[in-house]
Amino acid sequence: MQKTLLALGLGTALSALSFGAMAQDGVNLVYWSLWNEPEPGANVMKSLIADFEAAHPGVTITPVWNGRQNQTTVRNALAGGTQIDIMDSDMDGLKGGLAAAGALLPWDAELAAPAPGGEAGTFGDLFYPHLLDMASNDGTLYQIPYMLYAYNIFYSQGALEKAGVSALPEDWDGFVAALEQVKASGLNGIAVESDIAFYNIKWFNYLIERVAGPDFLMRATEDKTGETWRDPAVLKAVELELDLWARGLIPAESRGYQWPAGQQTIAFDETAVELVGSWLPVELADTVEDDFKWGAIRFPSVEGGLGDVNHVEINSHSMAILASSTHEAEAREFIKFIASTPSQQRYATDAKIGVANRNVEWAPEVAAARKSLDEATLILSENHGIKAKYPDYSTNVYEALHNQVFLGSITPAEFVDQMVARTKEFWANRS
Amino acid sequence: MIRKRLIVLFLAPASLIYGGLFLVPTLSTFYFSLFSWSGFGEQMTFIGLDNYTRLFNDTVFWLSLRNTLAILFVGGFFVFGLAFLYTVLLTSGIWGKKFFRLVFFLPNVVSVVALAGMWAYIYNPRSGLLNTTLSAVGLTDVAKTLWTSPDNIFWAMLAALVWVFTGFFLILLMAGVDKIPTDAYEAADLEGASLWQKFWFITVPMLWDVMAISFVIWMINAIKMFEFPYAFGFLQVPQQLYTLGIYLYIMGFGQRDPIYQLGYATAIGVVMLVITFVLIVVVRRLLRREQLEF
Repeated sequence: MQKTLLALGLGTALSALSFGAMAQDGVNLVYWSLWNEPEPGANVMKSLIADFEAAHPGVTITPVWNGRQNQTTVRNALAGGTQIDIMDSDMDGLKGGLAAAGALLPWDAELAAPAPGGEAGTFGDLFYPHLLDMASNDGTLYQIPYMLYAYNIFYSQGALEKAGVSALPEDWDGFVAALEQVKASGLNGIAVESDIAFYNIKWFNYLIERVAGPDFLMRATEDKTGETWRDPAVLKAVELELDLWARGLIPAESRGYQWPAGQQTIAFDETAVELVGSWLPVELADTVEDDFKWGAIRFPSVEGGLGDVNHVEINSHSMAILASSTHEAEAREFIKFIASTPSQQRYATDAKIGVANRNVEWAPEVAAARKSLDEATLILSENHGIKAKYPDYSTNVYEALHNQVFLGSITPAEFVDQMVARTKEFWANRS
Repeated sequence: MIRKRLIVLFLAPASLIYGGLFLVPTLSTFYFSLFSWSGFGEQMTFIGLDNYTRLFNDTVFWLSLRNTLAILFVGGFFVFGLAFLYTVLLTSGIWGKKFFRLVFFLPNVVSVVALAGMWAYIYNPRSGLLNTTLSAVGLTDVAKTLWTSPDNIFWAMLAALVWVFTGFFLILLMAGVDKIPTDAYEAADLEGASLWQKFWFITVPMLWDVMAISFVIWMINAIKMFEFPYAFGFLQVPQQLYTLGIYLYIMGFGQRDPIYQLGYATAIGVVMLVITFVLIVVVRRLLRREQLEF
């Protein structure tokens, strides 16, 4: 592995020599970043920027660390005439935002070009299958994914061992039975944050997919009468998730947890599992004991359902070049450098974050998440595409109402009625 | 004549800056509210009053309005109730008046994000200060309350908000009380007036103008309330905490979701402006009294 990386590093250096002619006069790329400066992800980015600058004399990069609402910040800055060359954001956010607005440069012509750094195959071959299709707007790619997170059920191996559970089953009944065993051992089964609707919605996203198939959610959203929400599959999915509360597998006091109160109970060895993105081990890295061991399983299948355990929902961070950039060639070179295998390996190793480059080995903490992606037969985007296509419905209707039923403020029947009514209202207001 | 021209000359820069930075954007807001516009680029579609029609049929808008009015009236009741109570107590000649004034005002000099974080720890169901204290004094049933559950989170936030704002209005009211001539209170003392009588018959009438301006400041703050509930919601603001200001932000700027409906968001802004204007006119009329000179 080390030899491969060394060869790729040399390849990157050689390609940098040929690039030198582009930047003889000195170019400063302005990069507005989704990372907060103290984060591990920002630290890796800083070191990669330093390497890129060293390999490309005459090119400097000025990062601006804005945090996760970067796209909103960039949008306002662009309206004020600020010069920005490169930015990054959530993949679905970019898709529905700057990409949809035509404010980004396309990448399609680059995908068939050789991979950067002399690596075998094309640039497009570096990425997980279908990831670039998911990132595209009507067949045109305006962003390059570089971070990749799988939504899995993450667990503490120590907690499961203490409860005598050798492995978490990937079928619903077995999963629930294993958590009952965890509960009987005196530990809590599942960690939940009451205030983070976009975490809690994953329970319903997966259950409705497992019960009614991967296209149900979009079908229900796009039914202007709202009546698709009356499909018995909806009630079944809701009742399955509420059964976790009824059995006491989710502690009742979780209804009052504000992030990160829930996930910290895993770090404190009080709770066994959480359904969340593969960023969890990074977030808890400073809280868990040194010998803490992470594991993850795919979301369990539901007997008789139309979905598949190999369907995995993901979230990704992407880089993009602003259409107003005056340094397109250098910006493309930098993003290719970030997407190259050595750079992505550094992210995976140093920041322990999953990456979009499929040639990279992930850190042990998230290795199971990587495996779930390797075995996936279908990758689903956030809220099965609703977040990018109908973001206001996703936030104001779907996630908000689900959080109410998930936390017990409304009944499953009320949830169905309100989803029908609010879906009708949504479409009436759009017409 | 020359004097008038000089006045105009001196007022011109301030007027231009005020007009450019406030009046023009305000009028532009109304103009943009007539369009379907994402805020990206210049592609705008004129839709007349459709954004306003949509507001009337938008459940989340009414929820946000209800929360905003709850902050205005319920929050205002407690903010001014406590501010008046502390004013009476602190001006009754007790020891440490300046110290207590400082203590009450302190939340106003601390970052809103820090305050919201602190209250999250106070309300934490397991190890929070509130439930731990309630348990310690034997109120074990009350200590089981999940203050930040969906059913309680708005009121929990409002209680913290009252705590933040009471100190600010206490300072305003006490500054007014300090200007009331002491001989009025001395005369009342000689007549044997109680604390309540001195407050009702001396403090309130002589504090009327300060109270009127305080109410107006509170109304403006309450209707545009954004920072504290937003910080209290932290990563993803629960809908139970939506105010008009937060809903405007979500629809116009999306938080992390690409909603970006700036035209619709400006319509919410115009409604906020109209509500503020109407309430200020009503309150000013209700509180109009003859000028009291002392």
